[in-house]
Amino acid sequence: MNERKETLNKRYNIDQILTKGADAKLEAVIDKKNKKVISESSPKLNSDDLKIFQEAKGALRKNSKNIKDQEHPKTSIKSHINKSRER
Amino acid sequence: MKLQFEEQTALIAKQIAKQVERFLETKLQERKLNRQKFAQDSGIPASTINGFMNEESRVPTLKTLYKIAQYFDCTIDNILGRSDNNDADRMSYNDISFEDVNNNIRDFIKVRLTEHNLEQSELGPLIGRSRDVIRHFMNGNQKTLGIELIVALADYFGYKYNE
Repeated sequence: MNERKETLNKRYNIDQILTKGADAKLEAVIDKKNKKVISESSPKLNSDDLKIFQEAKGALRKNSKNIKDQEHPKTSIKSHINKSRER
Repeated sequence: MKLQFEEQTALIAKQIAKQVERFLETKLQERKLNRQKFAQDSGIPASTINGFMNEESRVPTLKTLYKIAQYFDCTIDNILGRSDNNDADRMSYNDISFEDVNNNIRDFIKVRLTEHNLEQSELGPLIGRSRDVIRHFMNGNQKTLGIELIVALADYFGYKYNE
């Protein structure tokens, strides 16, 4: 509750949301996730930007999953049984 | 949990009402305006203005805050006492339609949902609202959002000044 009592004292910028929408933060997100997605500043969020952003995010997630799989390959039950039999 | 959200929302509403009352009192005094004249010039009904400045502590709608910001050419953060910074580079509410204001909120929500991997129906409960409130606003069935909800959104996503 105490935390919430300070809500209006914090400098959350309502005006940026109301006058610029997603612009400022969209740039930050895209730059942080993948600088190659949109290298120039994004003047206005449109559906194309959002599509690029979503695709890039999906690709990044897929890549990180592949890396994880390489580091910790999943052993199928079948191969596990076969290995046990070999032993 | 629900009660906690309700308490929080009520607290935000109370703070907003108090700040708006304080802002209007100061501004009307500064400009030597009476409520009647302000009502006439701003297009805000006198009964609404009285509601802000009397014991009622009424919470303004976003549309009313927009009109107040237009009239005094200031920011809504300024009215809500969230920022003293009346940035010269800021966009004036006189240059932006109320429809665009709402479209900007939609853009903001759209990106935040993508960023946080959230569905529209998931966001409402996270800020103490129903599952439908964001969906109705996003698909245009609901034209605008209440200022308490916008404050809760800014709060939830940690949208800070000059971030």
